[in-house]
Amino acid sequence: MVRPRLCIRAVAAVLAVCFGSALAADTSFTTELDPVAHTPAERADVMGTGKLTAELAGDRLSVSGTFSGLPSPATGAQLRMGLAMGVPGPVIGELSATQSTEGSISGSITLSSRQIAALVKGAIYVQLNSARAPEGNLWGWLQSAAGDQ
Amino acid sequence: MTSRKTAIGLCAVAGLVLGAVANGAQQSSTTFTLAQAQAGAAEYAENCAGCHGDNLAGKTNGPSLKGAAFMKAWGERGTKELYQYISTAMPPGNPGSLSPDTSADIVAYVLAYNSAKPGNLRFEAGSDIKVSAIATGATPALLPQPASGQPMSGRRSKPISRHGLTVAGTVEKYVPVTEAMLTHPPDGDWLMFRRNYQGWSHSPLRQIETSNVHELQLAWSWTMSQGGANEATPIVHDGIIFLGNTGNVVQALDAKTGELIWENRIGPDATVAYYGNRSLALYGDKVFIASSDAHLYALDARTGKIVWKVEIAPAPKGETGGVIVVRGKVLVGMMGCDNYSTVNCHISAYDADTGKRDWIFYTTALEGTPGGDTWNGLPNRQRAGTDTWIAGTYDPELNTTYWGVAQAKPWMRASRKTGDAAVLYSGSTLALDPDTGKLKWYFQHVPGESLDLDTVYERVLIDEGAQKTLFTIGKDGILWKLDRESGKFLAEEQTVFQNVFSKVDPETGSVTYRDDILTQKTGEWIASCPGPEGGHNWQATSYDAPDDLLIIPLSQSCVLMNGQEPDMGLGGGGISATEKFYFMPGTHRNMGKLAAYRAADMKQIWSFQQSAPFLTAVLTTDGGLAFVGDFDRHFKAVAVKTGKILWQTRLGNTVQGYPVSFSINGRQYIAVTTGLGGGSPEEKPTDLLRDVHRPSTGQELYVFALPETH
Repeated sequence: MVRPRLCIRAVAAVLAVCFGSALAADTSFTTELDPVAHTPAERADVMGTGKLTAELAGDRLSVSGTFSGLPSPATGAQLRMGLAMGVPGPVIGELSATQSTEGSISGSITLSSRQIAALVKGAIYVQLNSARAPEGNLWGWLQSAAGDQ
Repeated sequence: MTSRKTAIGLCAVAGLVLGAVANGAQQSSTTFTLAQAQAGAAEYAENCAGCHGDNLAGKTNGPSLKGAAFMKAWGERGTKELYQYISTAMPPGNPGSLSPDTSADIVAYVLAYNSAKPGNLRFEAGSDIKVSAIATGATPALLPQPASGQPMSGRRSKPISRHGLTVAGTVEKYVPVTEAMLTHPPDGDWLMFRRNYQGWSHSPLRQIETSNVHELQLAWSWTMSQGGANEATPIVHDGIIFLGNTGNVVQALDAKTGELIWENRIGPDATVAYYGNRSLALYGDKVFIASSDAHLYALDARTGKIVWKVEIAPAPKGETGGVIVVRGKVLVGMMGCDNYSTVNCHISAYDADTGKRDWIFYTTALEGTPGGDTWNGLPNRQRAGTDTWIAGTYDPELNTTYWGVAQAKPWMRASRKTGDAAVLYSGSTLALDPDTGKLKWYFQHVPGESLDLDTVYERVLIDEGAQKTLFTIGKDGILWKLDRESGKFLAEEQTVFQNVFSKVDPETGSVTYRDDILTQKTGEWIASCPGPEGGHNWQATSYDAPDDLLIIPLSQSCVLMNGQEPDMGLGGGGISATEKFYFMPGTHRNMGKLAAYRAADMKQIWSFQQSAPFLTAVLTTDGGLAFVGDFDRHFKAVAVKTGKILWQTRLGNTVQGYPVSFSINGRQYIAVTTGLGGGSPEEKPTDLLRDVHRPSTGQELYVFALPETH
């Protein structure tokens, strides 16, 4: 029990140095899942909703949450990183998701320092794929839980 | 050209296209029939040409449907997907309204225009073949006539609109509007677009105020022309409303009773989705309207008869942004400059008495003129865009008129081949001498704008002590403050989340694009928050002087934008991009935001968010109220000081336009329009807000007042 707390404090200390004290508290994150970018013709395949939380312990990010209302069963979920919040980017880790139109998402991924910096600035997101939307059905950018009042 | 003539012309073109197709090009007997494509030509003219152009080359908010651009976007996709897109997403503002047969006919026409060959089997909803397997993108050269009298499948016949002075009448005791009235508007009037030259959209009336607004009730309503984009400003003088409808229909109504006095259906009729009229103007004994086909009309305010008419620019140019009258001149902008043309976009001025053109200022910096070297060497005919689709404002003391200029076309720099060039005067504020049209100064907010994020909207003029300032806000959601004597940057404030600029210099206002925007290539998806809905769009800000508050309608959505290779010939260009839409992260799917900023220090005083975006300008009054309407049919009054909603009602359709206030015999009224049609402000919520259901018609004028006992 002691070691993780120390680790979190260490990360917080590093973040404080790197990004300022206001950002050092950003170890809890949250997001809502929205339909991915789509054309009107693709809209019927990318419906649904969801909510996720994520905890950063050291360099380990643990994600958990639920989703529902998908038009087709989920096929998987990914952690991705873009250039900024709202900018899509490549996969940086795989998460597990219930293979159904509703269920849960979970997983833990070790982040590099660059990825932690991206997380703090809101550039990391979770994407849920489904049978009819294999390139993305829902997505949500992780934001500091402290800032999501 | 009327839409009927356009349709006939397109039928002829279609027949010629199809004849050529039948003689060569791609072979297929499984896609569509010649009769379908011929019917599709007329359906296209009726439903699509308003956005995509008569020749499928694309216009504002409507990408090219022919040639390399079309093949790039659709070549590797199936005809089934093309059908699904048209049948579910088109036309903007009324998606899903096309019958299955109509959608199929339009698919057939588009395929034929790209050299797909008709066969023996009808195209059906499930027909699926890769577009590039049957179409080349080439436009056939030899074009026979279609069979005459051919019925259009699946579409009800449309009544032909009668044009001209359709209702004769006289406004009795009309008092001519003077320069002094425009400079100091009578309290009970609303004589111009934003009510005063400074663009405040603020009424000094105070009978309706925070303590009694809950008693507000409907006084009367009036059904307006259907079709097109209804975004009107009722202009009010001495108890008469002068109303610009879509289809360039102008009416005079008794503002107390809603009785029609005269009507002039100038035409041409509105095409689906775009082109309305944001504002008429009054001066002397005339009503001025800039029509959707780029003509300026002066009507007799007493009778509605045409006094004079001049061409602003040749077809296919247009105008929607309204006009202002300054020192006896009618000033008008221009739009429809999407495609490569020998006529570049401009602002022009006309003598109010005679219609004689006094001056012209090109909003595209042309070769050999100041700023002409900012287009990466493109010839004038490939300098598209820089439309001015919102009428300007005016400072009588400085004798200067201020206009915003829209983006260059195509939207993305990779498509338009301009590299990192600034492309003047896109994305700029212009300060012009209204007597001569000479440029006094300009400030380019976003050099080389690349994501359809116009900064074309209202310029609000505010004096802060001795300092004369100008405020404006564009689609990127940045609120700008400039010194309006010099054009010097003073301050900026971000009003919604944005990820487009990695830096905005607080000292100079210089913006730095995100890296991938600078290095974009055609065919790449580039993210933009906000997207073309804005941030802020044509729904204008109001300035409430008593509280020094700018109350601003804001929107929150994003797009991925994919630039295409345009046809570089005359008629080419266009927007040359496709889009995908998504909610703005962190907004909980709230697309609407209303915010109040104190002008002095640009601090946000209050804001609230809601699912539906606001589709009207804001009207503030000395009663301490701000009126605003939204996509989901609500019309609201909020307290200026707090943003608290004090009253709301639900109207027949999306509340869209520019609300105004006026008085007659001491009784205050609030007038607002509902409407359909328009670009991104209609298109994005139509797609993203799946629980909002709207009627397919319902363009109305509503007039509210307190009970007569007050």
